[in-house]
Amino acid sequence: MRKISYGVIWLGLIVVAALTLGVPLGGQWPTRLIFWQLRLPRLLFALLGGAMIAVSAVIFQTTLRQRYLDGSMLGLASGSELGIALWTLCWPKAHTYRVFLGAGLAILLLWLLRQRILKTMAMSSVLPLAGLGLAMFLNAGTSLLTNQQGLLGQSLANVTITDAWSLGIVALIGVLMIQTDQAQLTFFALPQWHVAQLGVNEQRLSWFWQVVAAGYLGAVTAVLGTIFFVGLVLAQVVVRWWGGNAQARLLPTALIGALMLSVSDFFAHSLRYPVELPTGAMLMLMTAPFLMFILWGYHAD
Amino acid sequence: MQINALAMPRVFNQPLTFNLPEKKLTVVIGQNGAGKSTLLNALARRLPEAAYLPQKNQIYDDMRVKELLALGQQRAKNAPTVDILAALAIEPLLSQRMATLSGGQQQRVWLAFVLCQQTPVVLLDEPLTGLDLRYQSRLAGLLRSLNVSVVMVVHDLNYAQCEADWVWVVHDQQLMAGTPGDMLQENFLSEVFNTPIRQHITTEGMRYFDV
Repeated sequence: MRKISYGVIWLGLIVVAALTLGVPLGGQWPTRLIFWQLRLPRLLFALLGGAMIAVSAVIFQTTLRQRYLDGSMLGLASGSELGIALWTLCWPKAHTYRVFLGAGLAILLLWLLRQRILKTMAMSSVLPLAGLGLAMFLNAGTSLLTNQQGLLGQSLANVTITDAWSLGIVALIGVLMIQTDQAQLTFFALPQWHVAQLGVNEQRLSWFWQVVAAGYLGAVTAVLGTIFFVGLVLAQVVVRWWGGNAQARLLPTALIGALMLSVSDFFAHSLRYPVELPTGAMLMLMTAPFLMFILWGYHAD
Repeated sequence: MQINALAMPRVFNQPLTFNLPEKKLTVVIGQNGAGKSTLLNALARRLPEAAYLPQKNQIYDDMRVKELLALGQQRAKNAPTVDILAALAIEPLLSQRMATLSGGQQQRVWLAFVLCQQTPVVLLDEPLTGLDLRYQSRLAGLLRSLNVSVVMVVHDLNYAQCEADWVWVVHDQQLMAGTPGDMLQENFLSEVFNTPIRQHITTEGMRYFDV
């Protein structure tokens, strides 16, 4: 069953990649310039970004022992977006490296949250509510500052080559960190007491993982804008569909995330061509039915 | 093993200094809310070499039994000398997910998780919860064969009488210790639990309590 699922996802990724790169829009085949400077960076960003949003959610859900949570619900995406808007206002050149900036700002906000909120509210059902309150506050700030709608996310049409390779570097750093020997996400399946008894410093281990998760989310948000709930839903779809512990779910979750964002972006780009629809809105539109599926299953349980 | 000045201001009116019998099975009894769990918790914090199983244990992820036990075994320094899995009949459950097990099965797995850490001190808070009579009996035998110091909270006075080497009674903000023969007396237990408790002796000489 799992092999078939992997096969379906890989097939989906190949199809959407081929369509994004090669399909003629407006009756014209893509020129070499359009292929290399527009379509390829956009596809790479969608594939990597989708994977990173989904993996980020798995990490936050696991390390905070909260099933229905992702980084956007902690205000990290909104904070990162607001930070980029402010930074760019002061120093417009920073916009070129917004992916690194977004990752850094999200990690900084994570550090601030860990000083108090994540210490006292971890594992509490109030945490998602408190996080959403913070996210709404920060999001309102971004909307007022940039005259944008804020909640719908942006189009990936604005992805640059620099964005694509920057995201690749952030993704690679995260993967290398995850591969280290001590990084066992599995420990978070245990209650805190047992983790401590096994000689594991949970604070240090969770910081390590959450830095990766926040960096991933902030980096993608810098281009895509704040996307609420999508990571939560994708991570939980894999829990229901795949099962297995969190460490084992990282790869399938990344693949599902890559597929969902690349498909969403393909539709956002082509449905009303030449009008570009916001990719974030399309992603949320496509993910919402899965949320219904999860909630339906929750009641069936 | 001497435990000095163990402070639990909410439960005991002064810091406790007492002896934890080595390589013996010590049973803790007392009313609900008397402070038995707090005592075990404080002991666990004082003794980093101890393995502690709280009353409630939850799994936060989709995990199989063998994965959970593998985490516990990471703490063990040597290969196990006693077949814990066989004693608690865990083998048939190894590939199953924790979430799919019954309460009693989960309790057996948690007990195996704690015991496979091979610590010299084991602290168990109400380990009999969910266990049927067979596994209650097996657990006592298993704990003895491990040759470690065990402190366990139980509510079953008959179990305490049959299995304990030593009894601690938490009552009236004090910790009292003695042999089962000394501590498990009708009048004393009736006062501790604030309800009449009678001890009966069968024609075969077996003693048991009822209310």
